[in-house]
Amino acid sequence: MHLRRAREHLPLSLHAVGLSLGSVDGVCRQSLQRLRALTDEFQPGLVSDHLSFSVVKGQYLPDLFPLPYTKEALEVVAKNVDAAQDALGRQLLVENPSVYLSPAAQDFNEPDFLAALVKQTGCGVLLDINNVFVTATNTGQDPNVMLQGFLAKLPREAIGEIHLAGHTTRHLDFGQRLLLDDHGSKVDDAVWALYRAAIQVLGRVPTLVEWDNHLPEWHVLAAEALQADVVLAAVHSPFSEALPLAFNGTGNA
Amino acid sequence: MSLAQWQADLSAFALHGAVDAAARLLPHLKHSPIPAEAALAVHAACVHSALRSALGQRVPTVVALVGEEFFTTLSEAYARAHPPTAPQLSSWGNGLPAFIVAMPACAAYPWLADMAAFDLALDRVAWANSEDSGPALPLTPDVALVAAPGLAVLRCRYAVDRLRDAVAEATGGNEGALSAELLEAALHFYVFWCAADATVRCREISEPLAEVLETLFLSGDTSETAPEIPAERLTELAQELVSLPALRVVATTT
Repeated sequence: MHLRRAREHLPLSLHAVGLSLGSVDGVCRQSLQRLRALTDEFQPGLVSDHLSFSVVKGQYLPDLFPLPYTKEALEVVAKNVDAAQDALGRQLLVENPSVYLSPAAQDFNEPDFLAALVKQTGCGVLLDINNVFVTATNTGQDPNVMLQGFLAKLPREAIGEIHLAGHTTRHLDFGQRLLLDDHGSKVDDAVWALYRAAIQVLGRVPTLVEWDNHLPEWHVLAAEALQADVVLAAVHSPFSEALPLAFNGTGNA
Repeated sequence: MSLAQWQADLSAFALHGAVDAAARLLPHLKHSPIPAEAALAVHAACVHSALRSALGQRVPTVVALVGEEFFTTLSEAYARAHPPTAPQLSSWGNGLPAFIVAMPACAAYPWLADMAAFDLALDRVAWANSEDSGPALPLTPDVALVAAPGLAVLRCRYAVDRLRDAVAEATGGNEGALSAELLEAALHFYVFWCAADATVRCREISEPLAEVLETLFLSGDTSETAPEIPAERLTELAQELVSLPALRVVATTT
């Protein structure tokens, strides 16, 4: 009921977690049917899910498991994204995940993998800037270099939405730093810096601040959204008119 | 390593802590800057934390009664034995009462399975659509007895409704707050339904009424061979049936 009322006044972005786009068993049909019903009813401006898998041999595990960026994985994900886009009758945005473990041998880096997926399927990308920071740090890469990789390899018009979020740092026994994408705190200053750099290149892109653990007072959430608005407002975008939803508001989910 | 093997091993390690799966994965993982074992552990923790949270939301009284530590262990064991086979975690966990009965470590809490069943019944009704209609029983050609959405009947060996109330009232909500009287075994029957205002309702009922409700509304058998309730039994219970808020008499003609 609340969503219906919101939709009367605002465009919506539906963010899914259950399609299991990387599963060798195919896209999750149950989740796809439910997502289709939602998109039919609410006609959202944007629909997205993650570059990951969560369904294995009929078992549904509540995690976004990472994929090795191999040619085989690209074939599987492309087939599943095609199936999802066919069923939904619209473009899907695919989000770069937070990565904790990294395969020793891969055919692509993450930006190249997503760029190839965009080229093969016509999907868009939901660029999660916090995930860029978390993944780069956890896998020993420079977050700025990784972000530049995304911005250089992906067509600008393919990036349909940006996510920001907080993460926590866990210090391991031998001094290593493990970042956890837990959506439970303010957006880190380093992530804001990456966001500003991305917006300088991309122009105004619909942005969502994710905060779904340890929820603070409303004014803290509003301040985070306002900070994103300030970044967006400072930039003139030659692409803003071409975006399916050129709103500069932010929200929390 | 094939993608299928990667997925099977990663999920097996995350869910079951399968050592053989980890042994197959480790040679294919980078070990710097984060040890691969630590990275794998993140996924195992994430899976079990999310499952524990989902299950705990469905059985809050069970969590309050046994405490976080016991429940976390129980949830992990249940998840390994009965992993979700559908994407909606909000409906995962219906097998928990039977699992508790079979767990020797739960024998110290003989009322725990009933409590889980009670919590789960409340949760299922909470998901019922208050605008739907439950099953209907024609009384005459013009009148039917219609059940409220989410109608369910539960048989328990303990007064779990009072256990639940005691937990809610107790500071800290733990077993120590429960009186010996509440923990005495005796058969109890409950009916659950979703009221018109979308609230979840529950009431203790008599055994005969529970049997009639199950036979008339919940057997799922509407054929002519469906078990019949003797007329005299129905007459005896007519007042109780008609006055039960979970049922309403509806005119079926316009």
